[in-house]
Amino acid sequence: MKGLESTSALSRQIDIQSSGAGKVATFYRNMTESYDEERTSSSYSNVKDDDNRTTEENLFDNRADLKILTSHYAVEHISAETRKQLFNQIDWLLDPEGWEEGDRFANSESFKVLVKFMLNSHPRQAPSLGLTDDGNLVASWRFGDNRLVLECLPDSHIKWFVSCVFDSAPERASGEVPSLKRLLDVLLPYKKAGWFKGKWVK
Amino acid sequence: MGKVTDIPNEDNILRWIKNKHLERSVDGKEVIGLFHGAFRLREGESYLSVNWIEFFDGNEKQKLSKTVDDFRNGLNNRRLSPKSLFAKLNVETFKKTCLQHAAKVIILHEPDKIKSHTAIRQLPQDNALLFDDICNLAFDFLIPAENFLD
Repeated sequence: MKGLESTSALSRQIDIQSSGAGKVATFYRNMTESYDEERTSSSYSNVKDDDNRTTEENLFDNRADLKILTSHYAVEHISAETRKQLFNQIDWLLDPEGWEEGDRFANSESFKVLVKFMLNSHPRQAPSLGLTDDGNLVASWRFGDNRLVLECLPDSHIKWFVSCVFDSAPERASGEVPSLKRLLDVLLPYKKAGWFKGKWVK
Repeated sequence: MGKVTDIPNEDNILRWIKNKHLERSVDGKEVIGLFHGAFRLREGESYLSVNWIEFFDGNEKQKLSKTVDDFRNGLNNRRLSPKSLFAKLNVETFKKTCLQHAAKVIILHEPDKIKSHTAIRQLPQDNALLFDDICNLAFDFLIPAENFLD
């Protein structure tokens, strides 16, 4: 199957590059098995695209790509609990039951920007995930009344939005920055909002 | 296109919210907000499409049901995802919210294949604070799409 072959190639590449190669291989095997279960249990229609692949197959590959990217970049640096939360969010976002025919799949370059942000900012937990109509990842964190939303563009630009309450006074701000480094600068005044823990790596 | 008319301020509109625009709790058990993309225009769109609920007769439940049926006519045989939602918004409140951001939107009934089709025009696309207010407004009255599925 074409999609699984491409995922397999990526998996092999990661096996070579990643220090957590064994974990990735196990993870990939587990995913492949769950894919077989999904294929037989899902009631989603099997409309095929120009490459003779169903939406369900494309969504599986899309989910697998994002999870493998997470493991590739963060297998040793994001806690198992946060990784599990992130994978669950990926599953909900790219669930065939919730997918609308014709929508763009999640852009892996955009997802890389998000993972790099997480590696540098040490959020307390995984974000809630959404998608723009362009396929860019949207990630949000909440801590009490404070909310941070990021839209990660594939060229490393990031749109940000914060809504916070400091000293009982609500405030909101938004903007767009050209790099992750600049985003961390911009968000520095909001560190006390509670979304992050520990030191930032810039 | 049929006759274009203003929607009365006291009436309500319905906006379809896709699963990908729903902010879920970390454990995934509940929807805790909406992402701004729920109200942004897609590439090539010049207005935001919604449906006019009071175009149809009946009690509240009947009008909602007829509006969703009408909306589904425009899906061209695509299914309505059970994980999507509909947001019900009052016209006057929506306009006032936009005015707070100096945006004077026009909400017009523009029927086509979908009888209740309504266009929200002149909605600025570069104001994140406005989108945040609209999402908060919409979050107050969400209806699961699965309520309308057989």
